[in-house]
Amino acid sequence: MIQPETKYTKVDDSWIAYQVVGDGPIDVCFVGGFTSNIETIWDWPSFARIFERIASWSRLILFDPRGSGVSDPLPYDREPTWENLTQDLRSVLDAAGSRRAAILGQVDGALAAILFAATYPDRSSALVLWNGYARSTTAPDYPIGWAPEMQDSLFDVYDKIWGRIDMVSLVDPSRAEDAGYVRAMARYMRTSSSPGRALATMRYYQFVDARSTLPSVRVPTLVLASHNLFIGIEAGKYIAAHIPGARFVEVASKDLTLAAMPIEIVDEIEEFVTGSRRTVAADRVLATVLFTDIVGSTEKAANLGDRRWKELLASHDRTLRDEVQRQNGRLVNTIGDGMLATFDGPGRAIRCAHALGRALETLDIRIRAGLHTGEIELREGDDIGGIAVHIASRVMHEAGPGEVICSRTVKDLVAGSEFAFDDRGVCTLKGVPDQWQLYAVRQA
Amino acid sequence: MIPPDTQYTRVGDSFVGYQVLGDGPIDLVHVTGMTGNIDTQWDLPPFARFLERLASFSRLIMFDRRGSGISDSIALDALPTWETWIEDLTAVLDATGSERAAFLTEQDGGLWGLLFAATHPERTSALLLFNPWVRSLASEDNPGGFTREAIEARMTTWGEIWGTKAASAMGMPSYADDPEAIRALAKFYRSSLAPGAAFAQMRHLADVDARDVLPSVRVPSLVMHRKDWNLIPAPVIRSVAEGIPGAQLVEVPGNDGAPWGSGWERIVDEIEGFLSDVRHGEEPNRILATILFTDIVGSTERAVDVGDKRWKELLSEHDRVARAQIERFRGRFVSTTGDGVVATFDGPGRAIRCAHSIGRALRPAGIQIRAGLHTGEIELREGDDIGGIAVHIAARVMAEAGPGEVVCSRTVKDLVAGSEFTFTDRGVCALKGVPDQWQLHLVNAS
Repeated sequence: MIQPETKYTKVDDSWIAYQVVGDGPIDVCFVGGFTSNIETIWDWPSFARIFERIASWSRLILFDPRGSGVSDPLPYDREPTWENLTQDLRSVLDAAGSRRAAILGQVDGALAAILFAATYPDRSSALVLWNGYARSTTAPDYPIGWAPEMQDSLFDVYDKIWGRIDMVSLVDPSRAEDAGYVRAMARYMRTSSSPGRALATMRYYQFVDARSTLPSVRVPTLVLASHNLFIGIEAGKYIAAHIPGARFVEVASKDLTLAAMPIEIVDEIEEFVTGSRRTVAADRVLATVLFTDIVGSTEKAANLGDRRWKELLASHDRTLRDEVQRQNGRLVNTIGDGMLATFDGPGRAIRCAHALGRALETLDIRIRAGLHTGEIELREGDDIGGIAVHIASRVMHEAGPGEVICSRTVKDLVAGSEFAFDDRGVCTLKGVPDQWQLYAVRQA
Repeated sequence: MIPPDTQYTRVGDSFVGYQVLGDGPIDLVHVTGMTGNIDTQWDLPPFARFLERLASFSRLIMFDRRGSGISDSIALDALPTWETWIEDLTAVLDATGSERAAFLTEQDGGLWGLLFAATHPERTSALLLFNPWVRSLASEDNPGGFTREAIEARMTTWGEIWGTKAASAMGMPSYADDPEAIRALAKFYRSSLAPGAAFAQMRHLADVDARDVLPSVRVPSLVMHRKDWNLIPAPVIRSVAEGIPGAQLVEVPGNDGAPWGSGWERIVDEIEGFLSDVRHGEEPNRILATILFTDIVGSTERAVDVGDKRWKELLSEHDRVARAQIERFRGRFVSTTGDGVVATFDGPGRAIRCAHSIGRALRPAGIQIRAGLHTGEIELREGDDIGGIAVHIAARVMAEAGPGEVVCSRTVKDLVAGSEFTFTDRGVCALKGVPDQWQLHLVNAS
């Protein structure tokens, strides 16, 4: 039996636990989501055999995201957002010395896997999703998933059965009579997430909507889905239909977890991952684009006079650089009296826009800010291009003094987290096709 | 062996996991230190055998306190006071239908064992303290302790190597030379606590001081110690046995921190022998409590100013508010004192919060109060009355408070160390009619 060594790496102020198993030619990183404990998963023989098989042809990287398993806890008012999970994933790959890995995401872990693959195509050799979903609740344009009131009653049930053997018969019904399996899985759930943590996380994922990122995934993608009660097969079909060129495999089983699957499922994954080793040109990536602009700059410049205005602009630029760096963003350029920056997570971009507004107020400068998440082209030098950049610029023009305006895409991606929004209605954006639903992000 | 089923009980919005094994005549609660995981503890063969042996003569109740193992986590930047953890203990006792139990504590788990036994003697049949942790910091009155620098240095080391075999061998040196045992132990520790959580809790412990509670423990107590364990100096542990009236001390060879380390069979025998000697004692009439006195500032002048009728209305408003806040913080209202109240609390943190809260709630009515707090032993008397020197001390402490202030004795401050409260030193005072000098502290308003 494999007994991997656990190591820790630090992200923000939290310790993240990870393991590296096997020494195959391909890196595979498993993203388990909140049901994750890299210590006790090895005590669950049905799951351990899946990992052992994967590690027989790869270098398998496992980790527990913040708030789960043996990584540091999170306070309950701070959710382990999928943006954070993506950050944890990237830090673990860095710590494990992995330049490029196939990302294997299961259930809620699939959301972070999708965001990672779209944002870092150069670090993702393939994307494999097991019972993933892009959205868990129904919407007018998304009949798949749970009606919100159904989901609430489901939470009331979880409250009583999380981590107990009764839950196993719902998760993997075909194994309900297998006492050893049931015990091992219940224990794995308990050691992954306490009931309070599990409920808080499930409530958060209720609101997440990642559908808009699917077309930006350019890495070879395999979507596997079973006829399980929790996610349903349609959620998988939807993902496969919206990721360009994704391959869909329907698994004839009512069970949710990989542990309940025959070992041949790993062979399916191996064939796909080892067959997709061509390098994808990383010239198109998913990013959140932030534009800012000084309000009334012409009048201000005239009032202050050239010298004083130039000094003020220099302070303004310094503040921009500091705040963008603080949120791990990339400052693309400063444009006269504004800037263009990109971020790998929309939450960080929003925090940066707000922090900038506050910091510049002390210089008596008011800005407007616009945000959009979409695919950008990486060009010569540090320049970027693409329609998403134009959209972000147009979104900014809809912002009033001191406002941060974003597209619906941004709002959907950070749903359930600390941000609150005011609906700004549907607009046409100059030179951009379609109608755009915009939102003002409230100051925290 | 198949481990017992794990269940959860709720404490407020949080979940606490527990297990029960055996059906012996005495309830025995295993109170671990910060490292505990009731699901993975069964993976360590000596630990599992130790627990099975305990369950052979008891109904053994095991649980993970919040922040450890499988129970809900706690915010690392605002660690709770002991009371929060004692709530976990009480909730598990209630969930398992245990009215009276013996408590076997390990290391820092001893802190709550002591506090619970002194506060709830009626629910404690015996206290068994293994390698107890009451005070680690050296001071004039604790010369055997460690300096703060030494503690910081040790914590830094642990923070860096937490969960490794090397760190695990520091806790249980007898495991060090057996590669399989030390691997399993390190895995157990990792499943108990993440590094950041371990670090935060160790820092918290450095400031705690439970020595003042020792004389108030009136239940049969056994202090056990492995002589060469080096995380707490032996003289400090011996002073625990000396401080608890009538406590027995058993020293065994070895240097492991947990009772299920080398030579655990002897420790189980000691526990079994001690418990079989324990007879149900009389109903206790002396318990540990935190006493709160309040008083309206300038009441005579106010009464003259507003006139009799209005003053009477103000007083009844005051009583209503004070009673409501005492109830809210789960205190016991004892009596009014004309223009103040007396109440007792089983946790000092709740008493402090109550004092602040009464002050705030009375402000709209234009009433300002002073408040004094002390933790000590009280006598339960006929009716709802209480007595004892601790009650006098609390009244005198209140007299030292200025308008709007909450002043407490050092005992109270030591008991809530490391929590959300901050204090301003008010120097050493003589309290009228009470022997000795008393170090007082102003509790800063949050």
